[in-house]
Amino acid sequence: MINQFYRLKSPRTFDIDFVSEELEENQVIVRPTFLSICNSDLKYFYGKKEEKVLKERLPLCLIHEAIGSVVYDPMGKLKKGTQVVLIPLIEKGKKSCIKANYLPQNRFSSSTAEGFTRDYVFIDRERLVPFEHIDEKVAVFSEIMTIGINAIQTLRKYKDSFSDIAIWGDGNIGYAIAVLIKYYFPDCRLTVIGKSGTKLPFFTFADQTYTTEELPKNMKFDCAFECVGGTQSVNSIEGILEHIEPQGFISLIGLAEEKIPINTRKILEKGIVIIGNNRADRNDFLEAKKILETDEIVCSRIKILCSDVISVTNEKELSEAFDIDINNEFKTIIKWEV
Amino acid sequence: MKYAVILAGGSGSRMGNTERPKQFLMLGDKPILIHTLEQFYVHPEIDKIVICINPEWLHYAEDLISKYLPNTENIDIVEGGETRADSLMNGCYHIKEKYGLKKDDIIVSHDAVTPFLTQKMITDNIELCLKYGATDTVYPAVETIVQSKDGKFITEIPIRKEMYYGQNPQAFNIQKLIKLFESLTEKEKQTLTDGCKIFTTKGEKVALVNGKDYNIKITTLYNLKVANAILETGVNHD
Repeated sequence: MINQFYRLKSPRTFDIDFVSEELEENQVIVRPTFLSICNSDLKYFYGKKEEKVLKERLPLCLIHEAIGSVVYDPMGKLKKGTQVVLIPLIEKGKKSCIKANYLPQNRFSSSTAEGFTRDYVFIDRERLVPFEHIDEKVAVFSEIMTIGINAIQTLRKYKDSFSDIAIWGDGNIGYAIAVLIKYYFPDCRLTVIGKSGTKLPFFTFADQTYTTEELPKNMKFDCAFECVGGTQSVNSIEGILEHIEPQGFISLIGLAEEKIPINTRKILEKGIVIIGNNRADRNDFLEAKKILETDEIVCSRIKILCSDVISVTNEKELSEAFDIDINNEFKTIIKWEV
Repeated sequence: MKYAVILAGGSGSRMGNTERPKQFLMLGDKPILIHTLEQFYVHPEIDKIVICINPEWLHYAEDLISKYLPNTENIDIVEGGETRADSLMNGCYHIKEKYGLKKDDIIVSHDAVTPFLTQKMITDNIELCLKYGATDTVYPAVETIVQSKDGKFITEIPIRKEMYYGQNPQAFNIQKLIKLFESLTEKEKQTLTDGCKIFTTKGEKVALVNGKDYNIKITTLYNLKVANAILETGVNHD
């Protein structure tokens, strides 16, 4: 079947390619309905990735946060119109002791494989999570939730509970993780440290919020999440090491393209455990679905991540959506109507 | 019910020296007809597909479709007519006889040799047809169109911004289409180029659906070369 791929050809330029696709065994055809722009997509769009990476990966369909509607399942297991969350992780291998999102041979949509800006997506059925009774504009944030679920579940393998948790970073990931921390650890004291006063007021369910400058020097945490990323993570990691209790836990989530210097003396002196986190696997998506189908409070808080919903009917409007997103407080949802 | 009627009655005479009608020529790794058919086959709103084929190629088409599509339960193959409008009406009468007609039943008609259509074009035609009774997919003219009645001198140069290229698909309320067609005189029938002309001849409105420049009709070898050049094949994207 001839499918349309809306690919980023070079920074700021989308164009349509026509691709003859065959439905492989075990695949389903899904029509994307709502997409959400991630920071990583913005880096591709504005050419902020390493030149070498751009050269290797473009042209590429962007967007890895998506929901869609099943249009054709040759096995008839998924009915036409079934709503599904699309999982961006593409498993090319398995290893019992390594989680799928950390296996180097596995690929990821809108990074090492095509993203979801296509007329139809031909996809393995294991990469779909059918859902009902979840607002589409919340379900589309499943993927960002799974980042937090993966990080929190990993942490819980080391320690069951925490009493004083801090999040450095008041962006999209920081917000999603804050919502999940209150879900998993309702009795903890949650502190969010942000860079300005504009986003922090949205964290109404946190016990306290501070800008970096306002954070009291004597405040201590037994667990901290680094959600700033980029070059600024030098400062956030420094701040965390200052405020973390001895033998505390640090969960690194914010991605930096650059090499970041870390004060290892502090880590050694305090006996800190640092855990790196990246992406999520199918189980994390199933967990996100379970939470969204059963917890109204989480749903209403996650919904706040939506700053804008934009209808996109062509490649020009897709570019415009990225230009709008970069100025939005939180996330931009694309209603995919090409 | 929403039916697709795919018009594949052509004999391919305009394609030059090919021995098969153009809808059976390969585009990438499949015949053009199959690419077109697949768009309707997977479209969530299309209930049944009727393909109108040149009688000489009917069994060939049946075999071809069975080869490429896993399930042909919802596909009927019928004989096309002398003209495009005849084929369209054959498809409509087949639907009427086999399934009966209800007030809101519509057809989305499409040329077999226009394979680059999108899900949205089909969806938009259905939506507007349910509202207005007839639709045509069009694309704004980018070049000046010149009218000449004698083929020697310009009769008129129409205002370009009012001109559009008529594309496919088109969609029609079936009962209304049959009623209008049957009310045409023989002389009027001879002027028909497509289903929309039946509506406009009788003074009925036809709503416009946005087409795309790439929604090309493959009628010449040049078109086929262009189509093959823009189509990627054999790539695993995951």
